[in-house]
Amino acid sequence: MSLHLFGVVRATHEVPADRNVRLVVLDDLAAAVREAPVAAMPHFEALSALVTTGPVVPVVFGTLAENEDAVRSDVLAPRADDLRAQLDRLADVVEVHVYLRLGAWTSADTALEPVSALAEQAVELPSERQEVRRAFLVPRRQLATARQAAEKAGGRFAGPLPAFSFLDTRQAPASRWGW
Amino acid sequence: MTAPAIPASGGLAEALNILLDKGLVIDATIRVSVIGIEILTIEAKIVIASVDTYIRYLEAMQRLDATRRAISGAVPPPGTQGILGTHGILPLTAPVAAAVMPAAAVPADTVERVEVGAPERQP
Repeated sequence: MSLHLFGVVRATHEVPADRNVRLVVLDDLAAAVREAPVAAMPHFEALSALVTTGPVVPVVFGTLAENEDAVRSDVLAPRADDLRAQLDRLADVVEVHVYLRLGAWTSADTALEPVSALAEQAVELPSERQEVRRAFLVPRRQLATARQAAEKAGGRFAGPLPAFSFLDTRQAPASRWGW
Repeated sequence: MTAPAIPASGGLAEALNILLDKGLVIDATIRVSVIGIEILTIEAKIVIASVDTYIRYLEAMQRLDATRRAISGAVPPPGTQGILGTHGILPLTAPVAAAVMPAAAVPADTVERVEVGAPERQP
């Protein structure tokens, strides 16, 4: 039975008990896995739950490994130093999204300034007409403040999310439309 | 450290649409693969927010199909033939010469040239 991979965490990561997620440990690193393939929504729910207890480097959805040995030898071992560095970088921050429908007289930068002020980094996400979607990397302890600021600005807020938009490593190739 | 709240699943579904094909890519090996999205089909409760998102989802599925074919050693994908390397069902052939309307067939005074920033035309 293949293992479904969620992401890489520290070996000491506290795993939420109710998601059938367990850790495959190699030294100080671990991969969060589940026994059977998981649909998209439960996958993202479990990942987001993992983020609440510490840093997570998410792997692309649909990644399967044959067994625990394969997780250690093919996922964790080849890039252990890089994974450690990423986990350190993400230790105290989480990704949040703010989706803001623009009124005729609103500037997104002005409206979202209170959220930007809290964030270490921000990146524009693909969006549709009349809407601005932005990802922010905010300190964990500022999460509630960020949510309030986003909602006060009239935006919709999602988070904490795994830091998909702020990974240093190679991403899945962009689609032909450049999103 | 206080445990942050888990996002409401409405917001999460929206974020999922955006993040579907992001994440650390593990190079496929014999024992690790990125496959099986048919089993992992998006559930009905997820809002496919737009045609754009749906196309990206389809492209993600195609990538996985291609990966699986590469793993099973079957035929490689056909050569690209479209803009920016798209694939299609038409066989690869020599490019068809673009149909050009003979200039003489169009009376000169009906031809409108619209050039941004061009000097104002004299009447």
